Amino acid sequence: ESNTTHGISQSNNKNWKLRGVQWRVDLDVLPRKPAPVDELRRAAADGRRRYAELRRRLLVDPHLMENCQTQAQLNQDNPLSLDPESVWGQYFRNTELERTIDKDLMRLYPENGSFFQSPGCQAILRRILLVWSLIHPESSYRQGMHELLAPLAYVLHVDVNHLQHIKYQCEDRFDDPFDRFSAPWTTIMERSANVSIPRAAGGKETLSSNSNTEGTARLGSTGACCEPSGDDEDMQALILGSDNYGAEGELGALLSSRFLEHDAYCMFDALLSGQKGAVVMANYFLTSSGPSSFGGNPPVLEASDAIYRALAAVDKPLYMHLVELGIEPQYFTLRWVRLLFGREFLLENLLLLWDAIFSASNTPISSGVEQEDFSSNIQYSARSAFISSLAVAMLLYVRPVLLASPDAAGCLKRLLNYPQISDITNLIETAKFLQPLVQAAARTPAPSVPRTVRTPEKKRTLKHSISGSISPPIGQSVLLAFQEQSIPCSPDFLRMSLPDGYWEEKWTHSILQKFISGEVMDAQGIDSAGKGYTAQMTVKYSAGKEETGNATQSTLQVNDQHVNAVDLALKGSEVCNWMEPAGNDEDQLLLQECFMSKHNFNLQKQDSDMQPEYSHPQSSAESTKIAVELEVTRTIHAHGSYVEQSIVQAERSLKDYKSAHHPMPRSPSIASIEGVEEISQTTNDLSFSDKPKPSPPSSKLNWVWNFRKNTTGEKTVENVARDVPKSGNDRNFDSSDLEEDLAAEQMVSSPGKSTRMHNDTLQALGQSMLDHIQVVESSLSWTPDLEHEEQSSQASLHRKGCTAVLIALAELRKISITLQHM
Amino acid sequence: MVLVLALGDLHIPHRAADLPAKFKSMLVPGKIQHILSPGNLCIKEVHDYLKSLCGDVHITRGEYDDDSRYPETKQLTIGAFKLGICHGHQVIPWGDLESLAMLQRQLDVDILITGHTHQFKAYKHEGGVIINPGSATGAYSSITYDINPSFVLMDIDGLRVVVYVYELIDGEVKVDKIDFKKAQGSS
Repeated sequence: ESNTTHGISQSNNKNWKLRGVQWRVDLDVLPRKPAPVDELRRAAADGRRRYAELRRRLLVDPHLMENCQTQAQLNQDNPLSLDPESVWGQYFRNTELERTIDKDLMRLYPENGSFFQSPGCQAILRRILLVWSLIHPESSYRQGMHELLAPLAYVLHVDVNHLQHIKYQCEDRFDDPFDRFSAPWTTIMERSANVSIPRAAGGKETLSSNSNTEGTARLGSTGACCEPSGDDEDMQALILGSDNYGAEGELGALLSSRFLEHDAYCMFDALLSGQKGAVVMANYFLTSSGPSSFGGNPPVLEASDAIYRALAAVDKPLYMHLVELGIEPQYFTLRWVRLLFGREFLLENLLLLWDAIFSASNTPISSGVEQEDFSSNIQYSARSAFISSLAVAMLLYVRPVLLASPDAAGCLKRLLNYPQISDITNLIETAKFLQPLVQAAARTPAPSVPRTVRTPEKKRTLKHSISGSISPPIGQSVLLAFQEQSIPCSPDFLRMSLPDGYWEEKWTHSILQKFISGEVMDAQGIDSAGKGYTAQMTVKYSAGKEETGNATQSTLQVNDQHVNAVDLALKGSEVCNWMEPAGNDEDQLLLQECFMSKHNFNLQKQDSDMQPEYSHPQSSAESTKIAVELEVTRTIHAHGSYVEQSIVQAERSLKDYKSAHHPMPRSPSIASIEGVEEISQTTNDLSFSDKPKPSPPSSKLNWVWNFRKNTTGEKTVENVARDVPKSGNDRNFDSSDLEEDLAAEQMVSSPGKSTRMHNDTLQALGQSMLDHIQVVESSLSWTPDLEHEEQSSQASLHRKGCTAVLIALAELRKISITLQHM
Repeated sequence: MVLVLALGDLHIPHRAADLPAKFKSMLVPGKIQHILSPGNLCIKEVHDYLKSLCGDVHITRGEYDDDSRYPETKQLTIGAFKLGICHGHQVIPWGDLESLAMLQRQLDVDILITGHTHQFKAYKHEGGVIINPGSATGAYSSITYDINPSFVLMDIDGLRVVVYVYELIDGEVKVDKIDFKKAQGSS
């Protein structure tokens, strides 16, 4: 396979196209690019010589000992000798080590087994690992080192093959024509006659016409493809590098199958020993603390902590979520760091990844001021920062799943079985982007997340809502950058094994939360000016579906009009009737979506007379706007299957849920809009029932009053209780629990106990709110994936909106946490 | 690279209490792949001890062995070599090369391991090798005087076998080495 197409993204003049050479340069085995070929050859030869000598010394074979040993010698050097210096003793120690290594090698890369499981390759790897372990008795051989070695050997092998390929095609440039003449007695005449042939034919010295034609054919191909790399400078260096007569002769040839083992050893040794850099891979295999760290932590733990610090700097909510779940970083980063992500990606992707990792310099970055309290002897380099940022990028890729997972087991399950990424260049770009942030954050201690803190959140909420940004300036830029860089997100979190009814639960919760939430709402009264909004929106959406631009603009208009106060109940039914069966599924979805979102508004409006507990009016307006935009953009991008599926499921569940409480006759409208209609009817009832009620004394409990009144008004308590188990097919525990809770409340129906019950439900609802936020966040972070389809202007608008959404969602989260702990 | 230990005629507990300490310290588990013993251990404890050194133990019946289930002769193949074991008290005259060679031809083996004389001997004979590892404990024998404890370790590697002889002379372990090569193509 050709190695030249695997992009080393930097300019041609700085990097070699062949990985085998480039990686050796990056690992400081070979000198950097401006070096002349001779120096490269000498460096290669030196490395090889060193390895050959080590190998000879350490890999003893007692059979190769002298036959005529003296008696005294024999006394020392027999197989049962207890002498530790004896050759046999060494041999037996080596066999022990070899057995350990073999256990790992047998399981190496079975999917690429044709190369890695071949006896020749296994023998090479075994010898390299054996020699290295004998040289370094303090760390010896650890499981995982073989996985670091395997790709190194692989790239060398690929390069050697590639070189053979080039050699075959451009034979005349590689071969010395005079080498062909082994017979010293050829006459001068013949020699001179033959000299012309190689130039013309590129074949052997026979003069047959066959060879001529073959030679011309090859010449033709030679002429065409002797610039396979397209870079004459590199080609030249390669030719000189492979010249048998160059510096150090054959030993100096840059790529040679004979010295593949030696080169692989040099790379492996350089990688593990760090070459005086900051990232010393061998240290990551130590279980005790390294010699230079004050903190007394093993280096791999330090690296894991560094990754968490980086995550905290880049994405605070995710970091806090993971810490709250009690997930220590080393649970999953241990394998990532020790194997340099070798087990998380396929070999082809891994090679790209390592290209990027190795291209980052490993020279230690000196810190300005040594801090005594913080572990001051940990060294950092661009490479360590890149590794950390790569880990963070990987975490961000599965962010939705992590946030949605309610316990540590779910998160770890995803992290320990990292999903396959189809396009890894995106991940690498993300990591590169995050690298400066990570580097800046590397020196600051990780933010602590006390599990019980709640009150500071409150203050921060207000501050954030005013400033509109997350307090450290880094966060703001990161957010913006997220949108610009379109950080990839795993699409198959949707297809993963979620429990049945997962989306139903999410949707139900979202409806409930909007239904009852007292936190996010508008302090203003019902804005009659928004009446026209309904028609406007629907018109825009139905007509402008084809143009994504229109939809976005209409979104903005919606925002501008402060659409929070709509007596959507009435409008809802209007719109419902107005919605004709759209020919296009997507249109239908759009309409449903916008309808849903409007109803979200309406449901929030129920408690218009309540005081907002924690939120600033501005933020709530924003968040509602953003909710609309969110829904809209979601459908605009039309990630069809997912949205449809979720909508359909959600509607189904909604239908069930609603039917439990409001057993109304189904309207004859389209089946998919049925649920929507019922919502409208529900909201009708709610909005109407809302008006005549006096405002209750406790603002917090108002929504509960409303809810109770409504449900009581519709059905008897028994019916509710009965319907809960009946329609439990598509529903999960939480919603039914909730209903049972409420049913229980109604059964008791004593105001004296209302406080306690309300608190219980508050907690449950807080939880549901949190879930809803997660859903929204997940869908939001997922949308930028499709940004590349949009035009730039719309993208920027969308970006702004998304930024605001993220902020609002963060606040929502804090609110919900507060709620939960009330 | 197969290490095969050959030792016999220990006569524990009747004529000797135990292996010499120096021998015992050298015999550690993990290095040896096979143990061949002509016989006369005599008790089960010795058998268990040999089993602890290596899983693959082959023993033939000596005249004083307690366990009567041991066979009179045994043949096995290790690598390219065929090995045979027999205690040797059945072959008269005891220790006679020609008679043992007859036994070797009868068993059709390349290497024959025998005992009973309590004296180390190694003969290269007619394309084969006859080895007597002696007595590992130096137990008394009515046919041999001045017995030194000895045993034999064979290193079988392809077509070549290196025989290491360990003898305890004056309290010191002396090692000797003999090389045998099997002729190519011989059955």
